[in-house]
Amino acid sequence: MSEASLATPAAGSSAQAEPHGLRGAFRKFWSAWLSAFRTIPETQFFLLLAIVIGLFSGLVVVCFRICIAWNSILLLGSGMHPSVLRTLLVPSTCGILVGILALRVFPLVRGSGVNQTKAAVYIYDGYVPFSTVIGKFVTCALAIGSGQSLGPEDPALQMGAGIASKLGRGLHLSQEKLRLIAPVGAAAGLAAAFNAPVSAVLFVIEEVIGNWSGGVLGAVVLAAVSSVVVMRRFMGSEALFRIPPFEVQHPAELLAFAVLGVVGGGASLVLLKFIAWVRPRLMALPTWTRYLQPAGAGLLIGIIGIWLPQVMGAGYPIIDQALHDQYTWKMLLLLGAFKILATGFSFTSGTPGGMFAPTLFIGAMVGGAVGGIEHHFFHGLTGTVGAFALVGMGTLFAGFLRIPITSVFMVIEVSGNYSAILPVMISNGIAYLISRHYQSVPLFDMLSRQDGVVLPSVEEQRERVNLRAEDAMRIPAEDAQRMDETFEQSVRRAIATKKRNFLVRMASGEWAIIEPAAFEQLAASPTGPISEEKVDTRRPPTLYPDQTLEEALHAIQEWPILPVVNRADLHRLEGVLALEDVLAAYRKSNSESSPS
Amino acid sequence: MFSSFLLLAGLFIVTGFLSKIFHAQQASLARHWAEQGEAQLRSGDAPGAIEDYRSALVYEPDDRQNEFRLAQALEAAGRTEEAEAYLVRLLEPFPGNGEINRELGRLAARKGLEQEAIDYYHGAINGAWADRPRQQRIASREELSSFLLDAGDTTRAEDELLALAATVPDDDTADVLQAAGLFLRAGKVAGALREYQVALKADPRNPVALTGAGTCAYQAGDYRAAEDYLSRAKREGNRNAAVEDMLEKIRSTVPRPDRDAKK
Repeated sequence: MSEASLATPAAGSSAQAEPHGLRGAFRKFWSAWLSAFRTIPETQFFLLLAIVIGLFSGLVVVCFRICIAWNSILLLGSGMHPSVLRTLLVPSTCGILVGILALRVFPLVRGSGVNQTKAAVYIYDGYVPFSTVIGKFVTCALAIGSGQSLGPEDPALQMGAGIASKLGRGLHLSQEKLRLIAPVGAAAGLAAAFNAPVSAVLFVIEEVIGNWSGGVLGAVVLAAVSSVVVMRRFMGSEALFRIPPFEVQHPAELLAFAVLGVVGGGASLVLLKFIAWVRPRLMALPTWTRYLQPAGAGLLIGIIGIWLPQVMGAGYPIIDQALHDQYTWKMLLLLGAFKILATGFSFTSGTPGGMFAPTLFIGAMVGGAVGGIEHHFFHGLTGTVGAFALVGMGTLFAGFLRIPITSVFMVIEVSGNYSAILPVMISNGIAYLISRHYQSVPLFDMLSRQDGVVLPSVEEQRERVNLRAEDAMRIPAEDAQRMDETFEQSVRRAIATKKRNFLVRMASGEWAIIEPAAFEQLAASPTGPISEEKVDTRRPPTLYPDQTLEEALHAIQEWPILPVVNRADLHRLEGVLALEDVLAAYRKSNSESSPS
Repeated sequence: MFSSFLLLAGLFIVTGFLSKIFHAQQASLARHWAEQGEAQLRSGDAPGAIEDYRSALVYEPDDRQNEFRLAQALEAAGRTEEAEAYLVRLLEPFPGNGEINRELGRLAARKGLEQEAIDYYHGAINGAWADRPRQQRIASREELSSFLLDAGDTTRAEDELLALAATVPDDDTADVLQAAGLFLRAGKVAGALREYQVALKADPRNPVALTGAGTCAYQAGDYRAAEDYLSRAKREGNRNAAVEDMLEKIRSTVPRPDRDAKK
């Protein structure tokens, strides 16, 4: 919907005969309301639409969660331990159905919802087919409900993006807004699934959009908030996990959490490497095997589930139990290890579903196990096993999904306990660094590359060194007026040294450029004093040393050189910058970053 | 746009309907599994009860009663470490909960941690109880006294028994008799006799109270009173060997003019 189309009144509405009675009154009210609505500028309309997207996404995610729970009860029973027959048959049989649905009916449901939303932003101008929403809903509810070790958050994120895209297209939004609408829906879907609006907003900013764009931030926040309002209306306002209170009593205890960071980073790597190794190999198998891969994964998970049924499904109740010290550290360790296997099987088989819940599960188990072991050796530790499980969730998030900021806020938001911030920051930071050191490509980038799509890597963007004006500028020894020179002295020096472009400081303090034509004029009449009035100068834009070279390129345009001045003293020239300096700086940077 | 709003309204109604059914089902499943757990615990199948209570808690995670019963099931299954960790966590938000304190007191007593047990039992005695608080507090103090006697700490046990005697109402014969028995175990014959006499005021023909009072009087050397209590106990149906033995000893060694005159 463009600005022009928003202002266009509904064609032909006045030509129609006015119906009488209640119906007529309603129609009149509706058309008046619609006319008023159409006069709203698109920017504001986009914000209103974000709220509607949030409401839709919240409602769909509530239904999605209910469906998963019902499927699970129906297929595996309501108890903690399903029978052996069910444990073996249900995930594998449903896996066949999921395989057929994913390949024949909803071919776009395979793969990561995060990457598909990113693809919508960067490749498809915000287009997410609505069939993907239906497909994700049906296949994920079936897969997770039947015990596949996957979570509902990533599908919820993509469903939100799909709903937003559909609404945006229906309302004929402009191309620019359509491109931005998918992340808005994604934030709404994720916020509803997590019941955590801040984490959802941060995740979308950190992983999908990649920057704090003012144009979309307001809409993302509104969508996330409205979807969480809907979620809490129907599912209760309790946080996703009930977190026991804890406090770090002594700074030395932070060391214990640092150990958790190391172990959590290692566990993240194991899962990452598993996926990196197995997924391309399974994808390389003949196409017909893809029908059977989810069933195969289901069977393997079923075999694990005979002894450890806790690893089946998203596993939220088990995380809750771990957070409340209900398992011994040996059991937690077992659950963490086998959940890595089960999740690896499910995800690499192409079964639709997300990695968020399994990551939290593994993190809670590994964290709890580390806490239990540390308690065994150091009785003075005050942090409970549950506290370690809580911090472990964030640690795996940081190490596996490589979203360090979201991981910290996620733990704070789901725990409602700010005192956890120090352990979480330490542990998450260590896990993130370990994961980055040993696995250069982050998970989402790795998955998109395996799928043959090159999406912009947010982590690479984040870590790219931005060259600045100070990295490229030349120190103005020859090309500009010195501090101790008068205007005339500097111009005479420029003539003497045959400079083609020269920067001079005007009486007003601004910097001006004398170009070759002006020098030719001066050469034609070399006698007499030289003053500002006698010389043709132009005022170029000024740069500051900290501005990026990208900004410098925008400023340079046709100017031969630009002055780079001090922010605190605009009269003071720090350097001069020409296009060739910028290019030289880029060349130098590239040769340094590729040592070969 | 109109259709979008209609769809939103429709979805709202459908979601509301589904969530209502969902919550009702969750509550019903929680009840079902809690009942199963209760039955398992009663039949002595503690591991089964643990699974059932865990299932119940999946559907009603904040049900404190089920959480407490799960801890009891863990304790019954011999998984005391887990039970203790669980109970400690349960106690955190409600440090004055009598039930949890008593359970923790029992665990500490079982582990022989005297001071910890005393602290928890005192928490139970002074704590809040949802059901029959007075009886629960008395029972908790009786348990604590018994534990202290077993541990050989008669000094502290006596303190608890004196406090117990002061709290037990005179008409609560069962608890008065329990207190008297504990006094007797502590070797505090006078205290025990006093309690038996209190019990006899409420129920003069109580054979247990008569036997106990007789035994106390016998141990205190008041043979006349002992013979009186024990004879009455025998008349009320207590004909056990110890009573007969004491009566025999009294009659053979202690002269009594009225009885001898009858002879």
